[in-house]
Amino acid sequence: MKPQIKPCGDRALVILFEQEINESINQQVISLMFQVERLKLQAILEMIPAYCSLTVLYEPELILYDDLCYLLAELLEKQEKMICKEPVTHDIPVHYGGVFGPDLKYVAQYHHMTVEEVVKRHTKGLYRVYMLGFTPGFPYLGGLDKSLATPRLKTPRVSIPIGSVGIAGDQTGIYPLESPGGWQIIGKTEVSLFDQTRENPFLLSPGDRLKFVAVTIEGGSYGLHKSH
Amino acid sequence: MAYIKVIKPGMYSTIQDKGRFGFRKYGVPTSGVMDDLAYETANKLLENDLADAVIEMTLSGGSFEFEADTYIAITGADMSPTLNGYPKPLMWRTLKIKKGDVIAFQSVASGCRTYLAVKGGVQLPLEMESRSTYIRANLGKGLLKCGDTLKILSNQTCGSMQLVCEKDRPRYENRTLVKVILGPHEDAFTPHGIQTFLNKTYFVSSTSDRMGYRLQGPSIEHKTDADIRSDGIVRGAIQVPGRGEPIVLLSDCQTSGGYTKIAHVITSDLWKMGQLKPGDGIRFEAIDIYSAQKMKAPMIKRTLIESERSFKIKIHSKQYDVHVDLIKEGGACGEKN
Repeated sequence: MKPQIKPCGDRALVILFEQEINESINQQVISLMFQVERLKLQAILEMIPAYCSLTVLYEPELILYDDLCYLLAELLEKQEKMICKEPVTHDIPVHYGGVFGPDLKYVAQYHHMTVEEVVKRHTKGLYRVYMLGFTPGFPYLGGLDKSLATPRLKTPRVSIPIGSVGIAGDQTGIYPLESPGGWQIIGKTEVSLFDQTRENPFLLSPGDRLKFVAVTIEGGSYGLHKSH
Repeated sequence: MAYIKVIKPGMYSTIQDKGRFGFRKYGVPTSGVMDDLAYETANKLLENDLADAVIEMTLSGGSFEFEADTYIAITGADMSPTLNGYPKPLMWRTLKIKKGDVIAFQSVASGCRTYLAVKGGVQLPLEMESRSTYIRANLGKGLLKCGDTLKILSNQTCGSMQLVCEKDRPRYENRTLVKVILGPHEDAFTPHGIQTFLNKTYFVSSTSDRMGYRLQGPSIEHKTDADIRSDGIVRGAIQVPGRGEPIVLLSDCQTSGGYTKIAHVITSDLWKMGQLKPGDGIRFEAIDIYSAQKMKAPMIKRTLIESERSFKIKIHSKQYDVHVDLIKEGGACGEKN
């Protein structure tokens, strides 16, 4: 399917790829963004990569809509090579269960598994950061083991601590800020996803990979124990 | 260092500048002022940097004591400002302020937001290149409260005293026409849906804020449903969720979302959204992108004040305070209290 380009008002446009959530299509989004960044054009202000689209914000005084469409169409023609930076993989250490993961037992019971089995399946995956959104630094992760998909809480919590790791439907993610929410919280990381005082405020970028690493597991058959 | 002391903050007042750009791909909203036109004019009246930070007040303003001599400009909605308790022509002009002066604001007569700019801008450390406030992520100063002190520069001079004459000031009506460019998901709507969107009047609901204005009005018909794979959102996007009532996304909107977007407000009309308040009506008019990109950015005409005079006169035993500005073009543009 040929990507479509549509205007988003007079200072932005969106390139719509095939509207599916999968690694291959998302890779096309990340690759196109990388190619545009490489041109270092003053006319391009910034971009928002999403699951299967790339929004480009531009300066119409420097480039008009048709000319930008033409330029992007040319880059899309070259897409076969899928040029990109090397993906970065992050290890996210997590304290699972207990006070850090109040819903871990529920998730285990829901799936007729042990707590240890839930943690094993959660930490086995290599997740993809499809995009960031909803709140600064919040990653939309792909790759959750289907057997762990759990519905959201019926009543959302008023406050979920920063760094909480959770599951909602077939998604998993990490809260970069304290916020209300309906996710099943299975653990917590001390790693900071968003810190405005850091030189690079954001730990994760779209296209990065991520692995969860169990530091401690609480609430399983073995009580509190460290993971090897 | 000099300060502005917040005696009373007003209903919802924050420090904003042009916005926080460059971080949308990390999920950081741009924030920034809701009425770019009034904001830009305030900074121009002070010969400030166009990205200098200002106080943005909403619906009902505060009172502020200046702890140093400086210059200020007040633009946007008229909140009947007073200087040391006196109502004077204070809006849309370069104002000289003496240490100890108090500027106080009441509620809006028309419009929604008022900008108080100070010479040199409100001094705050830059957070990700901006002084704008985004409360959800603790960026910027936060909601202003009683007793807050805002740093400003001292020993400032203004090269010229300027004024926006009454006739050149924007009128904030409670019914506005806003130009839009359709798309990117216009194909998700039936022709009837698009016609509804472009022909009916929508009203700003009370659940509207800096993130977005929820509009009430006739339901806009989708072909199938309102859900899309989440994609990027820019300021001015108009989302239509399943219920069919549009939401115009504004300065604090999230950077991505999963509802169909029927259109976007054109950049030069975005300031109009910042001056609408609950109950106000909007009509949307579609234009093509080529016309939109040919349009010049809106600008408010400023005039140099050569000299100004204030005096009292009595007419039929009624006393009036009169202020006269002698402006560069030769005609005086007078204001009477």
